Amino acid sequence: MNMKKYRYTHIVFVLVLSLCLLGSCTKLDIAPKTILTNEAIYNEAGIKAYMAGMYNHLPMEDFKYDATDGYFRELNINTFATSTGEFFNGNNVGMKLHRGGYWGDGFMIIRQANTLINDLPKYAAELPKAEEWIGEAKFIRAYVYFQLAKRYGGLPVIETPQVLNDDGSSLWVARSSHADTYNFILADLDDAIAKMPGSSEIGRANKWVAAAFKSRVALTAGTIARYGAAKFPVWEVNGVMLEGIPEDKANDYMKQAWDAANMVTESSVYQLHRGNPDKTANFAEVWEKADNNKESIFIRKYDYLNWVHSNDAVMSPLRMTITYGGRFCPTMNWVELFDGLPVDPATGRFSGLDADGNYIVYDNCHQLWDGAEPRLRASLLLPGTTYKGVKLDIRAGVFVSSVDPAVTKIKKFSRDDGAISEAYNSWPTDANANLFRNGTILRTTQDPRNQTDTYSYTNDQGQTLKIFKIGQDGPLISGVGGNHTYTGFYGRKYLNLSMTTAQTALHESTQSWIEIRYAEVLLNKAEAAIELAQHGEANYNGANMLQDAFTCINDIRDRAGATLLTSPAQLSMDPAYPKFQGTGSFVEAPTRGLQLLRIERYKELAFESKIYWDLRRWFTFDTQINQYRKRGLYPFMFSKGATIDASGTPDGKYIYDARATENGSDRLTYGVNSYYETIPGDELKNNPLLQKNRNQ
Amino acid sequence: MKKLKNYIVLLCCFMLAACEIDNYDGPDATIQGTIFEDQAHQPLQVDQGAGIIRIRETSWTKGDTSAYVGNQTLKVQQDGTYRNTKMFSGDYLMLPYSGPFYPYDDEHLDADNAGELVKIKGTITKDFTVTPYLSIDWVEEPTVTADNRIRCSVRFKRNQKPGYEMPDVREAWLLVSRTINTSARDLDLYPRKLDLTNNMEGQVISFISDRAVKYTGIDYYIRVSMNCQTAAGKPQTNYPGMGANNFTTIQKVRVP
Repeated sequence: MNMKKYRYTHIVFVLVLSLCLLGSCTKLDIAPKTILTNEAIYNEAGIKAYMAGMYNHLPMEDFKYDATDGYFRELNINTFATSTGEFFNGNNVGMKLHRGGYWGDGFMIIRQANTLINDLPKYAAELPKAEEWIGEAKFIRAYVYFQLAKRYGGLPVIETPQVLNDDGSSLWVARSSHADTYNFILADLDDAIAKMPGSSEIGRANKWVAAAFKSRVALTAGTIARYGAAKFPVWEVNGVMLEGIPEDKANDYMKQAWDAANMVTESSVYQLHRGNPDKTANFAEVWEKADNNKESIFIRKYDYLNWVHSNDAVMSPLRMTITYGGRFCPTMNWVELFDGLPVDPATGRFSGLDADGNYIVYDNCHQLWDGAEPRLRASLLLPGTTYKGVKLDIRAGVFVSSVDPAVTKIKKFSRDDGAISEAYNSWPTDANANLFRNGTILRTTQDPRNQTDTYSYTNDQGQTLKIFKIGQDGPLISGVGGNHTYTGFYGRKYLNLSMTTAQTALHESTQSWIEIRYAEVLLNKAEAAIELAQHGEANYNGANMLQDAFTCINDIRDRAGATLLTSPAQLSMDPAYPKFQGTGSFVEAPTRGLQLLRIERYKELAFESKIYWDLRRWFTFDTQINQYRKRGLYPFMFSKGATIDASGTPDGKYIYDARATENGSDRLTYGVNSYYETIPGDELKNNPLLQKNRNQ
Repeated sequence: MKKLKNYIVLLCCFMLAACEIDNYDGPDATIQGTIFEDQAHQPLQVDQGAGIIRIRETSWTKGDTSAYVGNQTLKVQQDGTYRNTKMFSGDYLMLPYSGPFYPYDDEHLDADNAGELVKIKGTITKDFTVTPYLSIDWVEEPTVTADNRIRCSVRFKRNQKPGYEMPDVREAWLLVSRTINTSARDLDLYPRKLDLTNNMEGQVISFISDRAVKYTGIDYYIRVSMNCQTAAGKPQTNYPGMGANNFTTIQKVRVP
């Protein structure tokens, strides 16, 4: 081939090809169809969809929060309620903190809110509700910032949607002080209160939601200021106080908390649910009717097709679910805070013993609970009561029929000092004196639901009854199979008892989560009032603070069916009861008045993911939860005189033994330096202006 | 065909250009040593698995101060010694940190630049001397009572480091283990803490286990732990790791 000719044809070919290609060069400038434009968003329906996206991602410790795995998970098995003494389960016997590292997901929502806050003013003329939506976006921004501030202290305050530049430096923002971060959140909420209307669709915020939430935020800031300073040295970097709020600001925040709560209580839009004269049933209705009672201020709804949870499958007793179950075991430490139980006033512990130290004998499996505070009765599943067609049966063993409770007195056969955990057959060590080893109390280690090893008892009428030695629902003590209650209690709050057992499976529950309810607002108000009264502000805003706290607490107690306070003077500055030296002494506080308030929070708000954050803001976590051992209550039945119902469930005379749990008896200790989380390392790499926390 | 061969050769040359030999040395260096307490200059007794040495690799950033350097932690054995044989050679800032002792670096405390620069290469021995919050000495070494319980007594001394306030003592435990690795979790035979106050310093504090040991004819390993807490009204004494235990030495007793 001629080389020259080849080159020539080659060049011509390339030129022609290039010309052809040029023909297709029109400017490609079509709007991508997968990106929403402002026109699509900035109208009523668009905003609703945009808001739904943000609400869906609000970080609530709800049914889809798992303390190990974080927000928006399938199951809520791991719980930080273990660490506060509320309840625990076999998956969480040790210290459990909230999942660390929540950061980027939060700032994503903050950015979405910032976009609305930034853009909406441009549409103010065409969209009459623009101002309301700006208020709502500020509420959402405040909600997320508060979740972050609770963890880290001071944060980078970002008020506008950031724009990326070449080296990313436009995204770098340094942390504001802890106090300024809270001031920013509170200012957002003030704006939200001013702009939002007084009512809203269920699940969305309104003026009162923002006010109720503000009482929570301001109270947190106030208690951090008051109690954090005593625990930590000032953590200042370049003159910015990143952890801790100056103590002298405490009262200002308390006043803000009181004002915000007062706004909600004055409005009467929301109130305590009192629809049912039966106080036990009424308290349970707070959750059963969460979607349409006046107590629910801010709720998250679930939906069978789109957004379900598994709370019932995880938390129900095993006989009331077809999968999982048995993971809701309230502790004795919590139960004995309630009224109407045989609690020794000297120690604050459940005794169940008479003056001579003999067990009190109860006539049946529910008599002990019949006189208990209605709020407790509605928070627990009670033995002898039928739920979902199952009569709850809890028993740790039976006495042989030769023991007649009318004749024989029984001395306490275990040790309950909050420190010792031991098997029933290991103490007393003398085999002849040990009722479990000398054959007086019978137990089985079979799965409680399928007991074949029953006790044959021939009653006075000559009938032979086969008695289940242990309850069909537990409790779990050494050797027993299955995941039954560890403590002798099952919780009830938030269970949907209208589901049948067959329906109770994973991803089948849709009851709402109540994030803020009126009772919390009352308790926030009372706490702020006591804090003010005990720190030089006996009167504020025309109200006597102690009198106000007294009214709020009694309002809660009256609804709960608890013993009322008799006088505001009870909310005193006397020293609080030291641990195990008085009723309610499990809950630590600086004064007796505040101790009463904090006990009330423990009782009212348990299992609602609130107490954990309370212990952190009170800075009592490391002293209250120090080598703490969870306790339970173990019922024993006398076979003498026992009866059996049609379902085979026995009933008879009972005694109750309180002591540390035998299984899952880990000691829990909260480290004094766990109050602030470390700033995630990845974020420190991304943002050179970000300062670390102390001890990091 | 010949042309194709040329292309292949050319392609191979391109690919070769991307071949840089990864010749970074493996983790073949060893760092070891002992943490001493400054009072009697004995090795510091600590808990099992105490992660109380903070190290920061400073050489790989090559002086770029904006690069992020994370902290790593070295564990220390109960007898105060440590040894890590899989370290990358390099320059490290090492800081005894978050243990039962006063801050080590008086100038930088626990800032990023705190600690001592150690060039780790080959086998390096680096000892540290710290001031523990408490020194606990045996008064009566552990013995076995007639009913097979463990008894012993100790006394403690609160140490002071110039320039630092002292924390308050908090509580004490008698720890009984069936292995040599007696740790702060071996509380079963002494389930209730003994509350301490500062004025118990120097007094003889006696312990007796709550119940008998489970087995006879074997050795048990005993030690006493005590810890401190932030002093009342002095939040500045909340030093990193506050609450970590000081220990006695581990004593072996034979239960006949």
